[in-house]
Amino acid sequence: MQISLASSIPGFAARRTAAEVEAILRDARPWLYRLALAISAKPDLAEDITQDALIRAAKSCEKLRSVTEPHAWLRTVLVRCAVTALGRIPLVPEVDGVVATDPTESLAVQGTLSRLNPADRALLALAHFEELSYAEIGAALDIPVGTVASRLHAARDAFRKEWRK
Amino acid sequence: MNQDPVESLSAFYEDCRTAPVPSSIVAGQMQAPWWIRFGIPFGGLSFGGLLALLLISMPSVATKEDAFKASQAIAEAQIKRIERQVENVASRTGDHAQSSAPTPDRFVVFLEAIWTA
Repeated sequence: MQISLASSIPGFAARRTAAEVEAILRDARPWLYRLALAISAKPDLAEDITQDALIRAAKSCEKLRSVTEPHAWLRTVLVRCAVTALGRIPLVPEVDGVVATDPTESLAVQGTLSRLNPADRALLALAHFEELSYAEIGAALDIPVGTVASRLHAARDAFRKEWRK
Repeated sequence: MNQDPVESLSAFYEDCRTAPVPSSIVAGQMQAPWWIRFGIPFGGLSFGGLLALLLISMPSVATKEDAFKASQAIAEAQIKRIERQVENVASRTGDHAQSSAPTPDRFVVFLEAIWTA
């Protein structure tokens, strides 16, 4: 009976092959794009953010081969790319193209999101789109778990406030 | 519209979950970073390299394969150019050898000189 040392140590992942890394990246592409869309609310910007994240992931291929949770790592990379990309553009009420069940409501949400700061948008997307736990959100945004609840509360308040404008 | 704006936000995220993914993302066509996209000319970077980078940087059109083919075509063109240069040099050397060889008249004069000596 063979016992894998790698699988018996918690938190230790065996090194993935190049083919496995490629498969992870290939399967993650649609999910990464949709997460980028949830944060940016703009399809063209979401595409740029996803491309940027995929390039960064490809550059850090070695990291991706050994990281325990590749999806969590990819999420962190994407969120950082999104926050950086959104930080470059001014906060103006721009709205365009997510295909929505209720276009009016969707446009209103996109307009409201575009007036929030990038960190709040990332936080709301991780909480409501990804439906992550506070610990997972904290890991993705590199903030303490205790801070997540208060910042999420503040982000929701900011959204409500901007919505009413 | 929903009463609580956060509910509208959740509805928006539901739409995002089913949003169509662009073909460039599905196909995994990589865009070059912005500094390549706007083509900063590096010292020592060949025209072929720049063209390949430009092809890579064209969003959703060129793949790395296209860029590779382009650089290959450029390399072949460069080889042909070098071959032409070698031919030109060879032909010039041949001309020089011909011009330095004694002309028939001079050769005849040379033979006559020996004969008469």
